[in-house]
Amino acid sequence: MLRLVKATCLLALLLTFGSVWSATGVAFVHGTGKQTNALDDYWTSSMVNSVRQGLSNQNNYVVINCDFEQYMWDSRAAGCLAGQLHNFINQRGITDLVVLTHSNGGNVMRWIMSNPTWDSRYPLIIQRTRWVNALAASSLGTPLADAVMAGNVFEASLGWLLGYQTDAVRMQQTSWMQTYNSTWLLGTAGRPNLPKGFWNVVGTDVHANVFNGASYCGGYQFQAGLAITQWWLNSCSDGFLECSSQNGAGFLWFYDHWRTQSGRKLSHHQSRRQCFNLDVILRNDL
Amino acid sequence: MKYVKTIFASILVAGAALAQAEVQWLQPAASDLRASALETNARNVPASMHHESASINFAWGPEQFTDGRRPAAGPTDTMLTGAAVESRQYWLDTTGAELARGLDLPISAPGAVIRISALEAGSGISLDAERLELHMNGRAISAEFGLEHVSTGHDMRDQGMRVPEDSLAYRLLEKVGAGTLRVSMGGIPADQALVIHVHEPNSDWVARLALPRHNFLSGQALDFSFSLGNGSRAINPRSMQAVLVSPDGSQTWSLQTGRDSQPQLAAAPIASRSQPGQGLYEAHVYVEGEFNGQTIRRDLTLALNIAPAVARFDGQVAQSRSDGLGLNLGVETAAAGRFQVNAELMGTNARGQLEPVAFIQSAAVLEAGRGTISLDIEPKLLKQSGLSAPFEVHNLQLLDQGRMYLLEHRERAMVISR
Repeated sequence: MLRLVKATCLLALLLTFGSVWSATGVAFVHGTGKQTNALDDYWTSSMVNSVRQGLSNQNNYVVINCDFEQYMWDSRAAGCLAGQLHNFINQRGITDLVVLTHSNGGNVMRWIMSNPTWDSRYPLIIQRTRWVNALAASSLGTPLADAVMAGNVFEASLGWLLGYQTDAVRMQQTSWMQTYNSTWLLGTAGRPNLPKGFWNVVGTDVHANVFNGASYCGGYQFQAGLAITQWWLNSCSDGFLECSSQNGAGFLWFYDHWRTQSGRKLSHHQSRRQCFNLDVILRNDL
Repeated sequence: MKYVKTIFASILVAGAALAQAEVQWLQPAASDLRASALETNARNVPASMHHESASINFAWGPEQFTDGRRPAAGPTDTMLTGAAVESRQYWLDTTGAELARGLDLPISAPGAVIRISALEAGSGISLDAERLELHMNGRAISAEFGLEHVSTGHDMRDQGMRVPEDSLAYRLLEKVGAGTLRVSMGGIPADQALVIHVHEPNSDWVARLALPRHNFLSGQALDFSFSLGNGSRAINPRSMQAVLVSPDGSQTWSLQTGRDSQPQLAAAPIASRSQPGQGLYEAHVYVEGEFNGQTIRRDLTLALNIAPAVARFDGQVAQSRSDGLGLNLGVETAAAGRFQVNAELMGTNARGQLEPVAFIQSAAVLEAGRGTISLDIEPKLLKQSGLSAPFEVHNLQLLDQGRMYLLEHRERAMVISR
């Protein structure tokens, strides 16, 4: 009888204070670009506020602002991301971190997970991370970076060819990502697994039709533009990245139409917006 | 007392010898990356840019990542082995005067995508679709400019495609077919430098450039493999240019191309004034071929890294702990820096087959000369795997964190028999 009472009390304690012992937090990691207000300029408040409703303590969230125009290993990129994640974990006592990345933000996070010995802040971040939900990750780079970087070195000045783009764009050329994936990054086919899960959400198409309601979520002008950039990509793409790149490292969580409202497809712009229930899917994952 | 000391010392020596005998280096394979000698010219070794000074060891098991979630699929396998690129595209540099007169572009398949851009940003020129004139094989044609005519540089930059603002893109209609496309546009300053990019997504003609791996040490031969074909037939290009470019673009080295059209460089160079962490070397190849009167033009860019031999494993190894598994690996260095070791530990299952136990990464700052990096696996991780001796260390790598070089890679490095 005493044993039963003890077990009941223990269960009640676990249910009451379980969230205290396991403080779950969520981090939003933006893509290429130097952000100073990613909440408004990259994610939008409505997206972030909707997702964090899944937390028992809704204040346990952080929106990262770093300079992802740099190479992923740069102190202004991975160094900055590590600093903000490390502070968030320590200041809020986070023991169970879910990281949401978009586009090239997935590469910067994967740098940290692949190179735990690079920086003494990395091991704690990895240990406290439950998993990374990588939205439209740029794991194998993009042919769009190839298209804007290359030129004819026999005709043009080399300085122009190499100095024209930022380091982040150079890095996301497909051949460059192949090199980094083979040497410094983990999780691609044939390479060791990452220490924590890297789960891909893959956007498969761009709807750009004035008579199609799906074309308006996130802004019609972005859909129309991504339908153009899709010319340089294969048939399965979100307008910026091919599906193969979005699922190039880690594991497939889902293709957009498997889980979105009415099987809608997510363009590269819509995969960071409150479109087709994506925010609810991410919220329920917390 | 002296007698006891002697016995004790003998036991220690025997114990150490036994420990040495339990772990054994294997002979390097021909495909392994390994320096035969370290770099002796200090000017070829840039300063290390590492920030971290603490020694760090981190290990994890192969199943540690799932945390209860079931994957729908693994990562996409591109099926490309080694370093390889394929191309259905080419670039052409021109001027406003040449574009006004008209340029002939070889088009090998319907549906080509063409972009015209000012060579440099901020030119202020107008690339107006209304002034564009297109003729395929002498016949006037029209092209597709996207919904709402949003194919300007500004529109593409809004989507993250970093073309210059002064750009115009269009797609040829499928019905237009292939042949020679004459492109002309007036109203651009005669001396304005322009670049034209032609992408042929529907073409069967693919150029391919490959290297057996992504990382080389200076002095090693770069033997590229090249092909140009349409799936059923390969052709020899009638012209080929090939060059290796340093990471900062300040130096180039011509690649030799013989009759077999396979680019090569006898000894991989080291760029002078090279700065660590500032990018990769690139091989650029430009080819033009002809098949049934149709010109096929392709450009390729392949990234690779070339490192001076800053460090290598010196062949010394010792087990460092009795519980779990620990290895002290000897490293010989030509310069001080922060060096990283990666290793995949394999163990033996009940059927006698090797399976992954853990991935281990360890890094430490070493001075020039000789030092040691330790790999450690906790007993818990070893026990969780359910695997036992003999163990093997696969894909053992030595990297230079402060200079971003891969210095050594041994696919099957050592056997641990205990």
